[in-house]
Amino acid sequence: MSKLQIYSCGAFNESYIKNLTLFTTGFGRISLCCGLLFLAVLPFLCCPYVLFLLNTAGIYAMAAVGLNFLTGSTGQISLGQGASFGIGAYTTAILVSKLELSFFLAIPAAGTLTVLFAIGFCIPAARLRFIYLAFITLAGQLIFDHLIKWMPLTGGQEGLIINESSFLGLDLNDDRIVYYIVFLCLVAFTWMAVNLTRTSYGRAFSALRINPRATEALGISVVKFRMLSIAMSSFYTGLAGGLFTLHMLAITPELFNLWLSIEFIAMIIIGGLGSISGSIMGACFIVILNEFLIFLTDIATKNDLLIDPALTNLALREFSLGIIIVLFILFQPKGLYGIWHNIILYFRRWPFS
Amino acid sequence: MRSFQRDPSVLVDIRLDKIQADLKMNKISLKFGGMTALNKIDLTVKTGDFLSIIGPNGAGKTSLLNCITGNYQYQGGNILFNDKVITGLPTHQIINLGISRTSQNIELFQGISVLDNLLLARHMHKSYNFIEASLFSRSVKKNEVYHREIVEELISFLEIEPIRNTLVEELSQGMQKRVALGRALALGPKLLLLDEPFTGITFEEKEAMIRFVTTLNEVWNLTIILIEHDLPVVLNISKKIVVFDFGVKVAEGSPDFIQDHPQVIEAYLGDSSTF
Repeated sequence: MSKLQIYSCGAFNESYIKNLTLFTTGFGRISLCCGLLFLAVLPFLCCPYVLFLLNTAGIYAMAAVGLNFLTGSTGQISLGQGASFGIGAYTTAILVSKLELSFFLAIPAAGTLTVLFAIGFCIPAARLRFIYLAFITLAGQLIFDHLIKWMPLTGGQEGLIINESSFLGLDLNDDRIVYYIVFLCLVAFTWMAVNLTRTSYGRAFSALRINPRATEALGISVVKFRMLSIAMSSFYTGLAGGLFTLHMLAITPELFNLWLSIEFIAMIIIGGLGSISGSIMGACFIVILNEFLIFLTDIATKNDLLIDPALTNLALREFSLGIIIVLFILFQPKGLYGIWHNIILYFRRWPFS
Repeated sequence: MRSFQRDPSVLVDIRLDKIQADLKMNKISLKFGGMTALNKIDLTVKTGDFLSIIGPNGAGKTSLLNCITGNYQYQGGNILFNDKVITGLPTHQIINLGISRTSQNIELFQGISVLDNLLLARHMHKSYNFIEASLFSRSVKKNEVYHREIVEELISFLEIEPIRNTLVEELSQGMQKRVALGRALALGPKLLLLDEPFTGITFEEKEAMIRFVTTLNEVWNLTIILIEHDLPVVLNISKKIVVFDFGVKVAEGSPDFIQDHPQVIEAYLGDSSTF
């Protein structure tokens, strides 16, 4: 534990082991603890509506952290994240409602199954560069969209409803319980993701994005590492899908269509490609944006501002999300993380910034 | 606190003659469509050799290196490294056997620091697995520190301490080539393949590079195959020279022998009758 002191000439590490710590000074660690503590008491401070949004944002954040491995670090685009999320959600729902398994077992099983599906589907694409993975995952997403509606196992258009609503004896109808489950999972898996990025594996992932040929020349198997990043991202997404089932307790096919995949990509672009905290910020941003747009359309229809009745909430959502992505790519390519980083730098260099 | 004015530990084993690095090529033939890039090349490299390959542009020098490292699939012949056939193995497995190379157009990882570039080369020597890495256990920390120390020894050896945290694209060509040499060394090679390490850099940087390469071979007994256009340098530093022309091995021998070889003069200066 580094001492709580102000380094007026900048903090410098004196040993290599200290270089591996996340925070150079004790203040970073304290602010992290404060942040986590705040998040831990948050459900008692906010209303049920905000709590519901927090849960959704947390679940999306977990999937976004997973996708960030694939797109941000390894530089491969996946348009099938929605399907991975859906496979996780449906596996959990089927295991819980039909086989009467506990959520505690069903969610990890869902993550594992998602990995198996993703690996089986992406083996041919791992040998090729990014655009092929985008197409093959797009195909996977479209197949999933229809298959899920046709199969009797998945309940067709009506989806699945879960009657079992306890998690290790805890009542899942209480959103606070769901919040703590999501919160713990998100913290644990974000921590694991942060750890991976600072070890040899994280370096190899980003090397793969920058120059695959040179990566191969360093004795790192390109195919193996692409598969590893695909597996990683689908595991995170599958787990998030499982948590989504636990959160909603009723799922329908249209929740997991191509639009969700695009939203996931929007999350990591808006949050900042390659940044884990950015992915979480991006997920929160998208959830807030969606709610804000619902609110906006409500006001607009009440005041007769919308003449065309075809301009529904969904169309407005697509329109504004597109505009926001373009604006971010043009003016802030590093995303929300970049904005946050600039603010921190401003204060750090304060009298001279 | 350890001092880093010490021997790079990746090289110590080689000096103690523990490492064997014998490369043997039997009748390597490489064709691109109708064009023959390499025509039945036989080449033997023994442990501790310093072999230079020279020849005009398009003679097939880089193609030969690409054949050794598995980047090209050659049509005929086979290559043995330490009596093990490496023909047909994927590149990363060949690198894992202890052959490492630098590239003509550097191929460092743009956008990350020199230190990270060197640490990447230590990936295949890491002793922890994926799960341990995600939990960042004590052994992972220990291993990361160990590799950092090895990389620091190389940084000290190559005299690039001031630039260790610089992004590679901000460096000059000469410094980039030096970092690329460091990255090849960080792989812990038994056999080092250098593709034009002295080309396109300033005089001082070239002097330093020559010093490093000769030290590697003469002090540390590292086996080196060098491709270079700068004839005075090649003739001075190598123990053995092979001359290529149009994919055919024209001559092979000591620098003195090569210097006066009529076919070499012809390949480099053209037919003497035209003068």
